[in-house]
Amino acid sequence: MHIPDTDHVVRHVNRKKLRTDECGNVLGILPQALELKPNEEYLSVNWLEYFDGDQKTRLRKTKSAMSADRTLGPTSVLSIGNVANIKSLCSSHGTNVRIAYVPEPPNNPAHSAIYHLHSEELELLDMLASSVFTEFEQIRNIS
Amino acid sequence: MSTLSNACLDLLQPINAEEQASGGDFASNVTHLWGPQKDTYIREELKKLIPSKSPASFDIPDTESLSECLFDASASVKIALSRVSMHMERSWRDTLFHQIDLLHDVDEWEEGDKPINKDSFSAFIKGIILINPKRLPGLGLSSNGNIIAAWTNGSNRLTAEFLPNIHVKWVLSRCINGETERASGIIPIARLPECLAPYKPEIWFQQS
Repeated sequence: MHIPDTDHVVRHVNRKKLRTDECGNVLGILPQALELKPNEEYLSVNWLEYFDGDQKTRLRKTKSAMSADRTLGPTSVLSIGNVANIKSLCSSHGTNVRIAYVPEPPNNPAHSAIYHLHSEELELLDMLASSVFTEFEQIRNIS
Repeated sequence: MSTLSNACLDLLQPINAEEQASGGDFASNVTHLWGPQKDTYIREELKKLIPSKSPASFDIPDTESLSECLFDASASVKIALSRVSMHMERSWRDTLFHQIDLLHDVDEWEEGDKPINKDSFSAFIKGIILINPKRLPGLGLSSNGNIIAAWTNGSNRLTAEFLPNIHVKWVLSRCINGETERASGIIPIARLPECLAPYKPEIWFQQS
């Protein structure tokens, strides 16, 4: 199932892949935060609007779902990107991504995937990181 | 000349006249070398400072061992950094030490992550010496344990991942005369200053 273009996906980014300044202030996420790990078929994200409520509530439920099977460090972030913007930017770079709802019950019913995003397209990942996934919230601030 | 370059020159000075006469000390061996030979010699000297077992190869069986392994990983690269940072401003060394610690925080560690790779860190040090910045980057760590250095000035971004084979994978976004130029590459570290030069890298490296 495709996620509507008007909706958003959430990418968890740990502290090591945050863009910071020399003082440690968080400025955003690094392009490496959107790279696939070896043997990964897709970029793992969560569908924000799967959950009802306002943004704060949705982020809280997203955090709960993600933390069921992985560690979410307190200074890591949930980074939010609009589906239409992701697809548009990728398309302009000749990459047609597919953003699909791929639930992982019972722990993460909102799990989703971005297919066909290639780690060697570093300029595209940099643009996604800096111009699409620009909204983020630190885990310790989500309650 | 930068404080970092001075640090390298200090490494080249003979410790005493006897050693200079012997022809076998670090300084004697390197002062007559040029270019890639000298780079190779300095790189090999840096390697000697780090335990032969790469922190990235450590197995991390349980939580208690994880803390110890991360401590060992960060300590080993700090030792290497200290060798070339003795003439650095103390705030620089302290900032880098702090960033290395943050990257190895056990509370932030995720399954599958790897500690800092010693060869990547050596490459990072070499890169810093070559580009001679007046501003430190923010540091990150790739899934493979490679150091990522990021300089950001507004919409101007430079991100460099230092690879274990003394190459660097870089990507930049640079606003010049109202136009945004983007570029990326994987190159030998020695070519980094040359590749960045057309993009007027002072936007990242000078004090704001």
